[in-house]
Amino acid sequence: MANILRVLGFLIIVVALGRWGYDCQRYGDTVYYTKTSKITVTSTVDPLFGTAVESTTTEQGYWLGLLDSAFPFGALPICGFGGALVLVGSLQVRSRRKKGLRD
Amino acid sequence: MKTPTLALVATLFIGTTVVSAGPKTVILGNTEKYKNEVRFVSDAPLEKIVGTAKEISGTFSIDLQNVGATSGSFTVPVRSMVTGSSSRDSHMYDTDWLDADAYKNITYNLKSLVVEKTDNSTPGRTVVNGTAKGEFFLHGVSKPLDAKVKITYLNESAQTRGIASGDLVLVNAEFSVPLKAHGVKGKGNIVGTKVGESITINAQLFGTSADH
Repeated sequence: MANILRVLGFLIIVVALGRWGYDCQRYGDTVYYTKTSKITVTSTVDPLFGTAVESTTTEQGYWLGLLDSAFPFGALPICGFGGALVLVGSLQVRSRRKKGLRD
Repeated sequence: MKTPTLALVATLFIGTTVVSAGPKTVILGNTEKYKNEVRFVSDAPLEKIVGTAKEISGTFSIDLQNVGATSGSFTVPVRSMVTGSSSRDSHMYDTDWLDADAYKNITYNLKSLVVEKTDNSTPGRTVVNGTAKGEFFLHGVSKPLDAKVKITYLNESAQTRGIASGDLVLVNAEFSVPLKAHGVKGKGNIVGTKVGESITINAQLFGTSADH
């Protein structure tokens, strides 16, 4: 059980950080807080008005943030949860080893 | 026979001149190519937030012979503002922030324009750079607000008619809104850390003259 907790915790950390890194790459910037749409501004010089005309497009999606402390949690709190599982697993292994040495 | 013809031509010419001169009412509206858009940016130490609003309505009166007297009103519904995060948007509409239920709209009442530069070098096109003077109404608080503006005015022509009838007007405006001055306090100490104390706003407004 202790080893399962440690592996599970480690997997949660790897998946959360991996997903966050992948989402940052998809978004094109560091995503500090979870985003559900991406706003892109394009500016072109309009020949009729002779000035720059801007247009924004919104792409719907989901990009995992790093710091969200409420649901949906960001990668860092998820890593904290994963780290806690690793810690609990490690403590269990340690106490078992100590118990084994005593016996 | 010559005199009545000349008189008729003169009347028509003067009539046309009178119609094209004087104040014109411009109504904002979208076309396939030109859209009304407001972009707002909050640049705080912890996060830069870029948001947009597209449901802009408004009218203004402009007289190319007296651009300083330009006046009008522009409205953006609070709930049309989006920031790229649905949970943040719902916080933004909350009572701690813009209180969208109590104050449904953000309004700018343009009272006058201080003209800095006018460019008529291209026939049929007038470009005016200046500072708009008006009142900005946000969160139930109205404050005087200056905005840097560039107005590009196109007289109706065969080219403009392909887009819309009437004269075409494109306005680019930039200004900054201090949240505290409008009583927007936010939750905890978020203003100044995750949300900027001032919000920079860029507006692109497109309209056509109604008097055609």
